[in-house]
Amino acid sequence: MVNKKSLVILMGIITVIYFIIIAIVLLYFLYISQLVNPPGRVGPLWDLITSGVKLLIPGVSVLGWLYFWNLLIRMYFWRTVKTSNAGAEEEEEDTPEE
Amino acid sequence: MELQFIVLISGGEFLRFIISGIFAGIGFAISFVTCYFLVPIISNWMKKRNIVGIDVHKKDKPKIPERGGLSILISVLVAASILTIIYMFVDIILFSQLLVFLVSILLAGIIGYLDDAIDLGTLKPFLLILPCLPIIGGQFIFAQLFNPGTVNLLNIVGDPILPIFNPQPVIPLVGRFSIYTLYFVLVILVFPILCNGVNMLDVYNGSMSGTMSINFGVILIGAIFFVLFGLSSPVGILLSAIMFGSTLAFFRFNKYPARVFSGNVGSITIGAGMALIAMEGGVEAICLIVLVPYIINGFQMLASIGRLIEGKKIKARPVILLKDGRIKANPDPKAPLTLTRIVLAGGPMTEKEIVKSFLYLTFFCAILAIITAILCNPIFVL
Repeated sequence: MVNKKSLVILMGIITVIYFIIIAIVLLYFLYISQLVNPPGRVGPLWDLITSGVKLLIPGVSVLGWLYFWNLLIRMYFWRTVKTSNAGAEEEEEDTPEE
Repeated sequence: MELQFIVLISGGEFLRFIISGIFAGIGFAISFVTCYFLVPIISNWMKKRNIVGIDVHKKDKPKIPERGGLSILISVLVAASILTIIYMFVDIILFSQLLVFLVSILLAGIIGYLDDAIDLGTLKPFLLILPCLPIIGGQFIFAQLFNPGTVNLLNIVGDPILPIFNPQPVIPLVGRFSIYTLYFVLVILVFPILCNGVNMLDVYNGSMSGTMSINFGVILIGAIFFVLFGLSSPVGILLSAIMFGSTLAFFRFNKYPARVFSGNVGSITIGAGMALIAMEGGVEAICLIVLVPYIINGFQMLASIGRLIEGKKIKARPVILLKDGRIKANPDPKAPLTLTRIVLAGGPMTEKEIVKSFLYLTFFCAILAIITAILCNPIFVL
C-alpha cells in the first residue's frame, strides 16, 4: 500500500518550499531590485555597496531557503522512520542501481 | 472565465497557434507510433546481443534488455525531422528552432549511447556541454540571417529577432526579466545538470518514463497557455508534444514489470529534450516546478553526501531489499537521502508502490506548474 499520510506530508513540504521561493522572487523583484543609494550618498563606492546589498539579500535568502528545505526533509524523514512500523524481516541485499 | 483574460493574441498569431496545434498533434502521433513499434524490435535486438541489465529490485533478478531508450531517440528524431521539413515551407523561425532541436538532441543521444556502450565516466559531464553548441550557434547564425547587424556576442542590441531562445525568462507575477549573459551560462550548464538529474531517478520500473510523461504533458499545457498569453512562439507546443508521445509509448513497456530498460541513451535524450523545450519554448518556470521531485532527489543526495561523487562509489546504499520482495529505507545515517528513501520513511513498499508514489508527487507538482503557468499571464504582473 502507498503510504498516503507520508505522501500528503511530502506534498505539504513541497508546497511550503514552492511558496517560499515565490516570496523570495517577489521580494527581489518588487523591493530589492528597486534599491538605490541612500539620500546624499553618491560615488562609485556607494554604487558598489548598493549592488552588493542587492546581491547579498537574495543570495542569503536562497541559501537560507535551501538550508530550511534540507532541514525540513531531514526532520520529516528521521521522525517518520522512528515512528513507522518496520516489522518485516530483513535480508541484507545490495541494490547497486540506486 | 472570460476568454479575453486567457487569449491575449489575435489575428495572424492565433492562426499560427491553431496551425501549430495541428502539427503538434501530428508530431505526437508520429513519435508515439514510431516508439511503440520500435521498442519491441530494439529490445529483441539487444537481447540477442546479450545487452541486458539485471532487475535488482526483484527476488528472481530477471535479465531485462537494456538501451531501449534508443527507440525514444529515434522516434523523436523522426517526428522532429518531419516537422522541420514541413516548417521549412510554413514558418522560417519555427524551422530554425526545430532544426536546432534536432541537432542538439541527436548529439545528446549519441553521448548517451556512447555512455552505455563504453562508460564515459568523468568525461560525461563535459561531453554533455556539447548539445548547447547548436543552440548558442543557432541563436547568432539565424539572428544574423534574419536581422543582420543587430546581434553581438554578449548583448542583444536594439530589438532584433531572437530566433532560437529568448534570454529574458518569464517570471510569475513579475513578467520578463533580462539576464542576457547569465542566460548563456545557464544554457551551457543545463544539459549536464538535467541529463544527470533525470538519469538519477531512472532506478525503478517506469519511475523515469512515467514521471517524465506526466511532465511533458503538463509542459504541453503550459506551452499552450504561454502562446495564448503572447509570451512565446508555438515551438514549445511542438517539441513537448513530440517528447510526450515518445515517452508515453516507452512507458507502456518500461512500467512494472519492465520488459525493457531505457539505459543512459533514454534518460539523457529525455533530459536534453526537457532542457531544449525549456529554453526554446520559453517555459523555464514551468519546467523548474515539474522537475521538483528530481530536484529534491539530486539536492538531497548532494546535501547528505556533502560532495559530488559517482553513485558506484557510495558505500552505504539508500535502500534494502527485504525477503518478502518489498524495499525498505536504509536506517544508516551515512546512506544518501534520495527521494526513494524519503518516500520509504513511512515503511517498506513494493517497487510498484514506490513508482506510484513518485507519480503522485509528480502529478502534484504538475498542478503547481499549471498554477505557475497561469500566474505568468501578463494581467497578473504586479
